[in-house]
Amino acid sequence: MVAILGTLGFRANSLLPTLESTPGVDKVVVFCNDHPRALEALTDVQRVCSIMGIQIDRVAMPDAFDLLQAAKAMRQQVHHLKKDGHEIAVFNIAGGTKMMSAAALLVCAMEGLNSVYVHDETYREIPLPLLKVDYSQLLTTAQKEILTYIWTNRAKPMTQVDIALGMGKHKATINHHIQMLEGKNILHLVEDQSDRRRKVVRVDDALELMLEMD
Amino acid sequence: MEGRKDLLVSTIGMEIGDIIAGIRSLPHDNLVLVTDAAMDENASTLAFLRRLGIRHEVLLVDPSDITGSALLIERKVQDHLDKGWRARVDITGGRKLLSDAAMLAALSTGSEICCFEMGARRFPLLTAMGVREALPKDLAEVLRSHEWPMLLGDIQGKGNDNPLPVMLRRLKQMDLVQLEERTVPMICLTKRGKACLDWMKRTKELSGSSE
Repeated sequence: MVAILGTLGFRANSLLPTLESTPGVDKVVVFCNDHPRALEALTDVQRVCSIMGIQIDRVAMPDAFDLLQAAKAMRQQVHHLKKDGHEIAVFNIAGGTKMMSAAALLVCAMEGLNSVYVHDETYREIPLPLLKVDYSQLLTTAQKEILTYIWTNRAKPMTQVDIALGMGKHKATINHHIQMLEGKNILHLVEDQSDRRRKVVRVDDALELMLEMD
Repeated sequence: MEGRKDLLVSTIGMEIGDIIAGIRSLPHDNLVLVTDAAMDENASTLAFLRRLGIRHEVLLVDPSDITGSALLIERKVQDHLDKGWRARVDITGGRKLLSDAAMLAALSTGSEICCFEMGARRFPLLTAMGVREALPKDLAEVLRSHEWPMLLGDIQGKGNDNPLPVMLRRLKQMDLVQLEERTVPMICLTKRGKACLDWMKRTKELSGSSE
């Protein structure tokens, strides 16, 4: 079973070249919002899919301008398809809003998916240079444990000592890993608002995406 | 990490408001504005930045060439990373292709991605997201140094001591090559393989003889 994914904006033509060029497709998952012109484009794509005998699912994007939410929704679909035994041939990132397209690109990198852009004027497909790599291997088990602990307890500001105590690990071990993670820009040490002598660990909302790599 | 300098790369179109949130909230020692519009079109934007005392350099990219645009941005970021800088890429401004090109460059260099379309969003990334880091050097060399496609029969004739068959299997695992039944069976580059080879060749062209 072969599926393709695509972001869809106002022009069906941004997606159709991929439908035509990908052999053996039996399912298309389209991400688009409720804008009337996007729905018009969706109708066009549905018509073509019907002629080609391809099943099409639409995933509504409630907020097409929120990169994180879009990336989460897309990732969820990728996981569903994989769980159902689909091979994902390619993700067409050409349509939709800027943030939808960027979210799709991010998901392609994190999931190791083929991605393709379609030229605005020539409608030529341009494959993008992203490698199929198991990105979940790029963090050590210890680093993942620490990040998961920080993420789970993100409501309260924690120092490195708090983390060491909470996880039952040696402070030097935690300090070492925190330094490594800070060097990778994955977390930041910032002054505590309530006590400027303390440095607390801060992570961004998007860390959730990274923790779901497994 | 103190003392480390910060690079901020921001994509920009005609709306200066798109980049202000990033400039204000992301610390930076150097600001690079990536645009696909000619300088004079953006003159008011740039003049406004100058009036604010915001020093910057402009990187002009070709809007019709996403890979080429991404490579130019990647080169700028990598030059800074090589000098020990930290880099962030704000993709809020400019048009979609520009943001996608900047995103590709960030993925390729492991730089943090930021956007301010719906409140501040920051995406920490891991290195090894892109071709430069993630493709092992020996495989990159095989990709670059051979003529594609190649005859399967030629490979089958290689002795056990020849590393090429093993390399090709690894390239296949990374979905960079595939077997195609033409008049005779051939090992061909996949779309992903072609894109990665194009990226490597153009990277080399950009860097001249240094690589």
